[in-house]
Amino acid sequence: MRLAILAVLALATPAHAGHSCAETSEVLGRRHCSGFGGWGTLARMPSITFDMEMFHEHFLVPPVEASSTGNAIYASGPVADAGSTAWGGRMRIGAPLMWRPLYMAFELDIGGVAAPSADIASALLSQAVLAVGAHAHLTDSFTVSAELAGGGRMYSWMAHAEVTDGEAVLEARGRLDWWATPHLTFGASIGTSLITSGDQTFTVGFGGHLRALDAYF
Amino acid sequence: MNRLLLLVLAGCSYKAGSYSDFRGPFPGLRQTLGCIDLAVGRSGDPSADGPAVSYAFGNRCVHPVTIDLATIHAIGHDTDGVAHPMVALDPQRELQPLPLDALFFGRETIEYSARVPVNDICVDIGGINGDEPRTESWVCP
Repeated sequence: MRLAILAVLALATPAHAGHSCAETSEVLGRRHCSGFGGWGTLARMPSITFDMEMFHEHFLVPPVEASSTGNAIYASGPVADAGSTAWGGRMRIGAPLMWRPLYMAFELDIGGVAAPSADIASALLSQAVLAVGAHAHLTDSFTVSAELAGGGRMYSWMAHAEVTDGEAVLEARGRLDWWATPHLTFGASIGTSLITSGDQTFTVGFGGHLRALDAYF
Repeated sequence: MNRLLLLVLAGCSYKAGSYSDFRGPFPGLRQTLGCIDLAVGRSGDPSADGPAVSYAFGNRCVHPVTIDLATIHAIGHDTDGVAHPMVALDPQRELQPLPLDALFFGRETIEYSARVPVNDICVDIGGINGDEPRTESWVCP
């Protein structure tokens, strides 16, 4: 992957740019395609993080109330008496706040819930939350974070027609990230619901960071 | 800009003391100035009319630093060994101090000219680290 990107970079150098811009010099003042200080652009960019994660959530009590399930005549498969699980993907974009080391992140989750109520086998889960947290570098390579995430989620499933149900989300989380490079992290988080006792979330994923080490230092 | 993003995607970063980036080793004389690993070399770029100096630098620290190539003083010596001040070719007046992100790198090639023909060139790089007090430091690549 890295080699492929570097190959693209090599082909994209101004001297080979062909129709877009044919650079014939590296000397300042004699270049045609780039000005002075392209190397300084990164340090003037905002510190933005993009994360892609897989989440798994365990509900101690099925999250959809029986009264909101409709007749659920198309539901089939195993039905749990208590507890259910959700899984799916999470996209997250974050940025530090003015008061470092505080940060804020917006998340979108899409996934599925197994046995969201006693008479539904599965449902679609979509969730949007805003997280606010603080992080600290344990070392140059590891960051720990504590955050509070709040928002809403929606469950939808098919009965006679599409049925939806929703609820608020408020979750306390802990995160651990490993910096594979100054711009790439692999991390995991655990969270617990502050609304429904016993609901727990676990995520693993990776993140791209526009600024090295999130311009933390 | 796109190139920068590709570099970031590729995981390119500067490793302290390596004096190299994705293009290869930094050419020229090597020196460390605080957080900055710097190599100063004579450029052979044929487009330059006068002596051109290549500067390759990497930030060895985990915080941004200021690279100030505008403060570099240059002198050249004529055939009699007399020193003459030289000025950077900067028709667009672009030379200015700029931040270099943590663990990142950069290169610039600057051409210098004097009123009289010179045989060599020496540059005072003591002010390149814009975050630290200037200290005279001459190198003749």
